[in-house]
Amino acid sequence: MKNVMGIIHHKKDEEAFRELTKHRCVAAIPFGGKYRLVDFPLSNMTNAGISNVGIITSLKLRSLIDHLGTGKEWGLDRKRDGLFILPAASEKNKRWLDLEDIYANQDYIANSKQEYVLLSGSNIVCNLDLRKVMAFHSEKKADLTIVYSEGYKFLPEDAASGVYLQKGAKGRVTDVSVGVPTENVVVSMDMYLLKKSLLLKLLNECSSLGKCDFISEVLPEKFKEMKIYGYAHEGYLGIINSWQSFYKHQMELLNPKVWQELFFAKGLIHTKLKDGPPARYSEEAHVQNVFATPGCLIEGRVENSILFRKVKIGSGAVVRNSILMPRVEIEEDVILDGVILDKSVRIKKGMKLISNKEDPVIIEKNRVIGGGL
Amino acid sequence: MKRKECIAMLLAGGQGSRLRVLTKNLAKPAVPFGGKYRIIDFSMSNCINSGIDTVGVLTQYKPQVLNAYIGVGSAWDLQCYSRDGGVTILPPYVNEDGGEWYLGTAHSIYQNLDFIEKYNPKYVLIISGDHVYKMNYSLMLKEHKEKKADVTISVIEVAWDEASRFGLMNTDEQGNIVEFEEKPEHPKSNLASMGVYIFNWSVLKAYLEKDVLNPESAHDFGKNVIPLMLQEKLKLHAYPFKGYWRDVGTVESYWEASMDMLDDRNFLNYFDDNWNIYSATVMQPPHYIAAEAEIKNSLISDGCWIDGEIKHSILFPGVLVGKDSIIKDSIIMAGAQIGQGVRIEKAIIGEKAVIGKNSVIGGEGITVIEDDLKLEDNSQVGLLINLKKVEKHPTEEIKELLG
Repeated sequence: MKNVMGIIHHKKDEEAFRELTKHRCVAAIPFGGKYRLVDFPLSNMTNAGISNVGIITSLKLRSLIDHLGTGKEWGLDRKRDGLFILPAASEKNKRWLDLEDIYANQDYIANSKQEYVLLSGSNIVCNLDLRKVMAFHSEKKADLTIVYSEGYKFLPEDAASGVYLQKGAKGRVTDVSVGVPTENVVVSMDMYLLKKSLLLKLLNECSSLGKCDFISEVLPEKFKEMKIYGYAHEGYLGIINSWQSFYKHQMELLNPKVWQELFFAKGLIHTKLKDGPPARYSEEAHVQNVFATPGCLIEGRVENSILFRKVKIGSGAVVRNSILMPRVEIEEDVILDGVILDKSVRIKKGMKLISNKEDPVIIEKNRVIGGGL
Repeated sequence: MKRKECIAMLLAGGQGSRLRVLTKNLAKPAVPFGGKYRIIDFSMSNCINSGIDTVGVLTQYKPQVLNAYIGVGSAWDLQCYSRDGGVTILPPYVNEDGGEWYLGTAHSIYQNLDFIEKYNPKYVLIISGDHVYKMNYSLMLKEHKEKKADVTISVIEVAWDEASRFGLMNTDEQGNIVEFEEKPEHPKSNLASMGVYIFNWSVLKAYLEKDVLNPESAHDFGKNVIPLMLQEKLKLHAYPFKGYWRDVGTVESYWEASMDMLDDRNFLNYFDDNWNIYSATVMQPPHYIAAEAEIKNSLISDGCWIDGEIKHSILFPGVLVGKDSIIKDSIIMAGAQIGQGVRIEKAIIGEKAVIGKNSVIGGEGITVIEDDLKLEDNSQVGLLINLKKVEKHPTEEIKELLG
């Protein structure tokens, strides 16, 4: 796939993630114990041999840049090609796929040597062999290939943020709709493969005609003149469109089959490597159905939960159905059920936080809960 | 080249034959330790944490794994490129007049006089890559300068009944070394040399040049160079180190030092953010503890999948443990696969070893299973005493996982 460049565009609806995006863009949201959302599309690209990737980001890009660094972990710290951070054109337009953001960076695209471009959303959790998408695209002599999932079910909260495709004969896609699923539609995975020359042409149209949303303004008009095909992804998929799906899809990782498929099947998902001792379980620890990571110190009881790096759980504490991000500290005898604790949250001794699993509580980064004022 | 005040020379050529099959394929400093480290990580991290940014690593015995592990040194922020210093691997070499293997620790330094001269240091720190400890060498250097010593040797108090295993220092009240005994039968002191030396470079250079001309010499610091310096009345100072230090030269001491990592007294304090033990981390997903698993007093690394019972053990990355297996007081190296209903006690399981289901491993002493070994189902290794039989409930899931 040396002949394909990758562009990861950004999810502009940050409000749907509440406190999780207060200090970070969607691409940089921590996910699955040691990853951030961007790791999935980025690893899929580099695992397929794509070595030129541009990432469009919003202004909240500090944690994303810190995470990506020089792109070393993905083999993108290169002399030729490599990793490029592309600033978005504007923060305001909440488009599905904003061509204006790409247009603002069209020099980078025009100057790249690759013939094809793969566009991908930053919030698509899957492990997909993009070489197969390319083979499919060539075989069909398609102008545009859109990756979709047949059986994917959005959460009710997320259905309105879904993009749906109407399938025609022989793999063709005949229509697109946003927000409203109709009968016999499949779910778009927000991944598009096309020739670079075609993308540049669309960008020109965007600037001259003002049609800048690829999904709602450009694509519906192109089904007649372009050969648009759909490639079916059959494996695990998580489209993270809101804090609810953020929670639900991480809980799904606790299913052995999902874990196996997402992290081992086709290629490793890469992320920024960090030093830290192995997780330490004490004599009193009681741990069941849990993901844990280096630097964790576990003395209490943990069930059905995901523990990011350097989480501390004191003795007598009970943690259930929760996601604890890096450096969270749970003191003794705390009881937690159904909570999402952002980085470095500290829950003081004896506190109790219990919520409905369907409606988890989110505690913002660096907060200290309990222990008086 | 900018002059360096102090550079480190790290002796990493040892075979470590008393580690049995653990060093079958690699040098002792490259032996994995503590669930994610290799033994050399401790010395390397001590260097960078003590502000020493130039390290020569002397290699000889089976160096491939060690060389690949050190790479360009970036795991310890000791990049050998784009920086004045960093890590340099120093194997034996040939020149116009032929060449030879490193004949002893002193000879290996002698062979690299040019390397040291390039930095023209005032002091040279000699350390070895096979000890587990956290030490601030800059404090030792400070004392070396204060005492105006020619040589400072770091010493640690050891138990009297173990003293005869070590090189022992007899000191006067000022901490000057008056006598050095290498593994004496009847020890007069319990101050053991830790194999950490600081030399004034001019003094060391003169003695190395003298030593190499002596055909009787084994060209060893402990046996030849240090005794000669004492004999010639140089100022040798003993620097008392208070802290945790272990020589992991035998399977028994390796196992004990590993188990110390699980002790609540936390001798090494390896969770300390201010003195990280750095290592070359490999990419693995988080580890998974299944619903029926039980983990007590253990260290678990990335990529492990645990469906059994782990007690007082250390698991390296990517270890699979099947249902109803019990692992106790053991060390399981990276990528090992433990089938269902397996019982392992007081054993060291090598990298990528595959243990068939219902096998029983362990016994009196420490059982070591070598890397890549495949054990059939129902195997028995070692003589297990008082082990209860476990019931077996095979599940399809883990069977698939174990391929």
